[in-house]
Amino acid sequence: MKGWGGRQRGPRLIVIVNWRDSAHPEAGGAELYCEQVARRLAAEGKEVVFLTAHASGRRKERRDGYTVIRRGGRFTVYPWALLWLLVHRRQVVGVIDSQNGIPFFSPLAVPRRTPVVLLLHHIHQQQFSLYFRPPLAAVGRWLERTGSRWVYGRRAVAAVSVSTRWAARRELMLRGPIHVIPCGLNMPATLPMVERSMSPRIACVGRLVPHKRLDLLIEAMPEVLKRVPDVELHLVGEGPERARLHDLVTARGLVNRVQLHGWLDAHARDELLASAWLTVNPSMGEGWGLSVLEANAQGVPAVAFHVPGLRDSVRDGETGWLVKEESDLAHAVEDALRTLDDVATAREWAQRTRAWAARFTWDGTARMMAELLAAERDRLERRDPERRQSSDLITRVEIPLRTSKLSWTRAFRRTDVWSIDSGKLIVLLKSSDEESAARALRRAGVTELMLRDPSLRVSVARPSEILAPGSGTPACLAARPGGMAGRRAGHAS
Amino acid sequence: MRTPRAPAARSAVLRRPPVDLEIVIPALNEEGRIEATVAALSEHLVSSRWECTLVVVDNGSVDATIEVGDLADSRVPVETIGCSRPGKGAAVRRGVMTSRARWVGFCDADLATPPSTIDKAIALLEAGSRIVIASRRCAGGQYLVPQPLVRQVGGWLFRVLARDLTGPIADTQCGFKFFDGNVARQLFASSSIDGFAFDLEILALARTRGIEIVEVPVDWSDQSGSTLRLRDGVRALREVGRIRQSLSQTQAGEDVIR
Repeated sequence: MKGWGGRQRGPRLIVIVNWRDSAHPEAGGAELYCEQVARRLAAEGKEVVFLTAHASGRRKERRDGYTVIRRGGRFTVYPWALLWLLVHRRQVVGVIDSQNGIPFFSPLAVPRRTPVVLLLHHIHQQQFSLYFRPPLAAVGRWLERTGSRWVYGRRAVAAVSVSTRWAARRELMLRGPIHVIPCGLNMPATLPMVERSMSPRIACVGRLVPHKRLDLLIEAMPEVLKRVPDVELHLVGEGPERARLHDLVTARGLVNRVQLHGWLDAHARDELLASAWLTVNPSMGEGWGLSVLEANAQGVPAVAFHVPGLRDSVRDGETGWLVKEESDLAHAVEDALRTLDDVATAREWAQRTRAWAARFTWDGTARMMAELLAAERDRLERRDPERRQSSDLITRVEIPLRTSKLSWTRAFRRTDVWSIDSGKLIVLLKSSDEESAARALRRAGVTELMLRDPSLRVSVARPSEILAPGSGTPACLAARPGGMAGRRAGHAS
Repeated sequence: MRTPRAPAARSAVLRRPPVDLEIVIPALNEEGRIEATVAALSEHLVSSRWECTLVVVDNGSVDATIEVGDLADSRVPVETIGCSRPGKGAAVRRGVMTSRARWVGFCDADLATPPSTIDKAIALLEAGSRIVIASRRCAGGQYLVPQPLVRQVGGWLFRVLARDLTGPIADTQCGFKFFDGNVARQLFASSSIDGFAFDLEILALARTRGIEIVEVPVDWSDQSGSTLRLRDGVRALREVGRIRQSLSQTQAGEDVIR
């Protein structure tokens, strides 16, 4: 197998840098993402180092096959991480630089030809002022936008959702190719059949922080109660907003209807979710909305605002409801509960949400991340120019499995994504339009006659198709021979 | 930066079936405006006696442009295609080269020109004209809402530099031009400018081939939210130089053949 880089001595390390450890008391989606990817890359035999702040625990330890190194605190972790990378730069063969508002600027510490992927969950430009005073907030905004643009240049970016991809280009104006690599989901171990609660139950899981705006939901409850008198709301999670939310519940006289659980262990949380009718996420914007998917996995649809991240994870009318105006929240919740009142209808919704959640696996996420690192390595080593012009356009090609040939996969890149849906192979060709897609297919041996076949369809990928090209689990097209053969049956001769 | 000439759309598979009129709308991050534009154009076209199609060309948007294009309330067919080559010129070229329509035109996604101009243009094309362009500067045309000063100065500079390329045309840059389909495909096939100066090149090419260009006056209102930035303006001015160069090369080539 080809190595990750040139002439290094010692181990070949893939380094994942993130501000917090997954053991951190305030750990969220970003930490989970890094940990899941680290574990899977390690399982593939790669030497992985997870570099993070030192909040608690030992400064260095082995966990799930990879090494955790903890240095510095909330702000000092950044210089510490750079220093560590600089010292070990000869061994580092790939960096996943996870940005939580402030990136690590790892390209400053590693050689130019070392692959770096900037991992973006969501864009914080508007959130800095929510958490910091004006001068500090301005510094944060500058580092996230202008600073990143300078330091990362044309290096590859991984965004967890289509919204984040758009914002990375439009708000941060990053210049590298931006790939969508969604979060996975730990499918819960099959729970003993949990019955749906008798009274309409809403369950929300997440940290209690200002931008999640759970106060909007609590404020909407009196209105919902007017038409759904037996409704109950359960909030699972901890955070700085807890006291304020508690006071709000008391002030609105909702003590009997709203319960703040604090943190629950995974089992208790899933059990509560499985008994719920609905989850509501009133956040002003997320990277992706993992909690929505966790509820979906239990067959629970979601109500959310039409905001970045959530408009990707909630499919309006299919796995939940998207609300445009803040003032419509109470109405939307009421309508959703009335719809779900019918058991047969609720079962249909549950089936759809489960199928949707099942598309997102951490295996897929780790695979795509590994391919992106490999593609970056190829790009940095290769000197000849790219065939495809760099563009944000993605083209979707739909090929009936009965006519497709294994050799056609030569038309695709490592980072292209595929999925199988009712007898069709669906491929997303990155940085490509219909014209360049047809050229690539022709180069791979697709004849003009086959291109004329109406069942072979080439079109610009719609935003909703980027996340999940077909109904199957999206996966990366491994460039290695056999990468697809193992998973795909239909290659006609 | 020089980029190689765009390959013309050779694949017959990607060309659309023939209709009477196709209007190409190049769009880059136009989720806020494309819907109204498609609705207004379709509203106007539905009553015409010609079979019409609107073609939205997504030039690599990072917003919901293409989805909004799909959902727009249109009473005529709307096709959405992509163009990964950056530049308004490249996007329009893709739309024209994939068309089989008898007449083909293009207009801006902000629809600064009233749709009724289409009728005048089609009447002229039907009567035998081969290129009809909207003009804000010929007799009868006017700016209903004036452009910002920067645009005015830039526009003036552009016109001075471009004057001898197109001859007596008053306004080369209005985003509303209609062609005989075959003429358009020939002109765009030999064009190479991807940026905002592409229409100038098309008109200059038409002039060297002795094709007459008819101007129709329009009332034009400046729309805010234009994607044209200073950088693009500077690039457009540089493109004028490239047009001059490529035209003189073509000319020289033809002289040798003679």
